[in-house]
Amino acid sequence: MLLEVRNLSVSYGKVAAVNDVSLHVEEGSVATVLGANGAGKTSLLNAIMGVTRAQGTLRFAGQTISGWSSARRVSAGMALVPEGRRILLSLTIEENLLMGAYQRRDREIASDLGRMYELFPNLARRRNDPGSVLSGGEQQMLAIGRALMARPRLLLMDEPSLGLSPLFVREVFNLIHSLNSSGLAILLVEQNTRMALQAAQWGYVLKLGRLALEADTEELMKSDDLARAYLGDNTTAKHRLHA
Amino acid sequence: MSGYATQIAAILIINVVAAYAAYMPLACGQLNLGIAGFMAIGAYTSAVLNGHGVPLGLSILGGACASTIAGLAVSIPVLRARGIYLTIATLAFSEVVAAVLLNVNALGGASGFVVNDHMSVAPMAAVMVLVLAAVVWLSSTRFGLCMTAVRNDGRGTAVFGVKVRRVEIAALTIGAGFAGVAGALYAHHFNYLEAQHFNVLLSTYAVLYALLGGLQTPVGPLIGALVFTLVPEFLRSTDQWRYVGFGVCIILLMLLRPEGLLTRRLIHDLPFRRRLA
Repeated sequence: MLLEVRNLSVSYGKVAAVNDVSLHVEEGSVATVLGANGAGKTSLLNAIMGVTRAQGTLRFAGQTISGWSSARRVSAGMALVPEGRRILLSLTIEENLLMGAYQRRDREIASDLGRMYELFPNLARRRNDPGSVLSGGEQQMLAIGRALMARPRLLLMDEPSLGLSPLFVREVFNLIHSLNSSGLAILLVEQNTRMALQAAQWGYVLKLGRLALEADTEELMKSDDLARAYLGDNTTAKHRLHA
Repeated sequence: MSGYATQIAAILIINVVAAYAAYMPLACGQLNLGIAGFMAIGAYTSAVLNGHGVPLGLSILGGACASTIAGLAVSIPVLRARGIYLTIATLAFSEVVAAVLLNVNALGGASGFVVNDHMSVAPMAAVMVLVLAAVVWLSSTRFGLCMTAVRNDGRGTAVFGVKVRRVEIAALTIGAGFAGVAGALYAHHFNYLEAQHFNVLLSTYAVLYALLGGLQTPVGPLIGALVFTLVPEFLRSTDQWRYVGFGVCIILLMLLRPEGLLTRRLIHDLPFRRRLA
């Protein structure tokens, strides 16, 4: 098992954002965490990355990492594609990519940079332009490329399809598929339920900070429980829509 | 050089170094309004050391060390505060330094402190070039990249494994060291110190030079200090309209070049535009 999260809780003051959540990601697999706005998905990822304080046990690649700094977690092989992309707008595209490799000290950073430009030709052409010139979809590609520059074993992705055109959404999911085929494990947080369930092997559903459901994604796609957990008890509204 | 030109050159050099003291924390998004306090520490330390027979160069170095240590000591607790609170804390620190200096009789108190050795403009310029070279070099390192990243998105930068607080502390501390150098240069050129000189206005100008010159490149503060030290001198002939003209210049600049006089885009575009045309 690559990542194991046990009884994780995150609270902001008195408000509990994540409440006693346990989940795991197998080596080389894609797991997805689904849930409506405010379900605690982003807090969960930030806690795993170590940028938000949390209670509970985290194990990564056989080591307990609960007390580790984000820096150590990056070195151990985790990288986050943050919600809303968070491109560093004053830095050039190339500098953004280099920031992703901040924890690395090896000599292969330059060759990895070349690989990113092969993967994203749009970025290669504008490598010396500031990040602010990119469209939303291109910024998402840059955010993914930047995370890959850390050479992660586990990629944490926070709503990568948010606010993108259908064309770019498909491109993001194609990329997820091909990254996973090359052996990268991914923990994908999404609101685009259908696409996420297709991309992942295992799915978790968060509801108001608690784990409401977990199952094989094929099962989740068929079940009515998902719709109920996701949409609250508004399933009647959905039926009316279809009628 | 005439006496007038020499004085302007000396003030310019001190302003440039002070602008870099403000630039360092600004480059990672922290506004330090305590530059004057750090300058005072550098100035008085250097003057006292020099008064006890320490050679000029070593005295200045001592002043820089003292303000660097003060910067570190202040930034560790102060950088727990963010944004406007950080600024207020640095401002308060500066006022405390000035108040203490004003009341210590061994340092001349309100009647001021006479400094032994004199420093002429040429070695001052050499020191300024050293500071400038240090900043240009720092900006080309990973640390420089981190400073810009932290200015853009402090929390977001932590995700890459950057220890954001350490970057902020380092920047403020290095800036405090530069302020100490600026203060020491002032002490040895004018050979007379009084605590009242190191006031908020001095800090404000240092920040103004860095901001108006532009934070995007390490050369920005040099340009800012150059322009905004010399413009009021050129406007001297307009007599009482001088500061009105200066104010208008600042407002125009903020309107036309909100990112400062010198931006990365400007540098990036210049050679290409010509080739295309």
